[in-house]
Amino acid sequence: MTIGKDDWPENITEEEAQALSDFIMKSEVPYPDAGEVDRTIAAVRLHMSMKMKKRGARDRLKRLLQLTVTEVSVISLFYWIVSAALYVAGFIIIGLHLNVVPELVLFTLSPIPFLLGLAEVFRGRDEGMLELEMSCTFNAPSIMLSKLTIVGLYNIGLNVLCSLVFVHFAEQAYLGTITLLWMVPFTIMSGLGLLVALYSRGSTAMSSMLVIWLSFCMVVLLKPDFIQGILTMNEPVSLLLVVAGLILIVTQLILLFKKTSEVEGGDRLETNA
Amino acid sequence: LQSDEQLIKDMQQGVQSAMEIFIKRHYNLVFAYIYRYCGDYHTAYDLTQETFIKMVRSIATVIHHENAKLWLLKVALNTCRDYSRSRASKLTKASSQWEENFAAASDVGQPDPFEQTIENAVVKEAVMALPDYQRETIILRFYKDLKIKEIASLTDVGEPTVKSRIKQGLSKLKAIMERGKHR
Repeated sequence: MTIGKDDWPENITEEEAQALSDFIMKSEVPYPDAGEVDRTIAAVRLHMSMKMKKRGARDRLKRLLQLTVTEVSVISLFYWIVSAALYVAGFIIIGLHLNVVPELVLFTLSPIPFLLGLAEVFRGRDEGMLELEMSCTFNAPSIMLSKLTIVGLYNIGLNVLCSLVFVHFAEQAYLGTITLLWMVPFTIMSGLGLLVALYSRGSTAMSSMLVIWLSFCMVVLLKPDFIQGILTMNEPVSLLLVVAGLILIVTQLILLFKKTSEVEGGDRLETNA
Repeated sequence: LQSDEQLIKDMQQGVQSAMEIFIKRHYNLVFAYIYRYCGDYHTAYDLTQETFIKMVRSIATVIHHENAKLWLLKVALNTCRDYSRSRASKLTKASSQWEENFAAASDVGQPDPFEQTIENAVVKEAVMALPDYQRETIILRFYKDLKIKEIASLTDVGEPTVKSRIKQGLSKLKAIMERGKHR
């Protein structure tokens, strides 16, 4: 900083002005550390919460949809490819006419993309990176909810596509029956996975739920009676299981949605969403 | 990176994360101004907090978002003026840390490692010796590098008054500096 000529008093020469400028700039400021700045932010947040009205559910839903669109690009390419590759591998297994019931392949695969996606959804929270991921205007639950929507829709998309291919190629396959077949494991396992993920690390939830699910499928594969039981399951029983799974999912999503409400920003980061 | 303008708009909508980003971005600007004005760390910390609380309270009234820095400095300046008029300010001045620093600074025979501290203290003392209206003008001009026009707008006085305050302030600082040399 140099002193502008207009600022000089008449009794000060140019050299003196520079010396004066240097003199003034020698003063240092002992800035508060990050913790103290955070305390100020917390105090301001309190005033802001009292002052501002809560966002309406409609407004939050609109913002969430906007966020979901932008978050698609944040999901890792690896996740998209691995999930799709699993289905391709499933069709290859069916195509090779190995000793596998085609419907059972869809049954096994149906919840896997969502379970894999849980690690992706909660990765930011687990690594303490959500603050960076937050595009400055959305809080952690909003981001997690938008990512859950993406992986959920992707999983449903893959299952629907798979069902349509089945109906197209199989002789005695009905879309309703096939849909119900994948809806049962998808809803139940997704609901359980979401529940575990919200109260533990996302990667732990993903791996433990995958192990549980694949173990279950292995048991089913080894017991022909089980296969028969699953493939010929009563429609009301299937529907009941689907509803139970949906209730589990919706309950968790509502809890998350509530947290997207009035309080936005970092202090929710440390909670289990 | 969101612009200040966007952050202010978001704050007006009640987005708290925008407030957090905004404060982190401008905290040092506000704190440095206030610290140089009042000369005490703890007071500066409290007044900085008060400045940001006032900012949030008045955020809805901000229409022109172009120069958030100037607007924020104006809030800080008014907070400092309120403080100067308060009883707390008068009590703090009585036992100011400046005086302690300056006493230490004036102590002949200080070892070299403390030279920077001494210089700091002398400058602080010199700036603090100025009347409030000159001090705020000098801080805005030299530490915040604001233009005469901007200072005039911030302090609600005409440009000739700002120039006059700067000249008077510099003259006084020169006198203090020379006095310091002759010690």
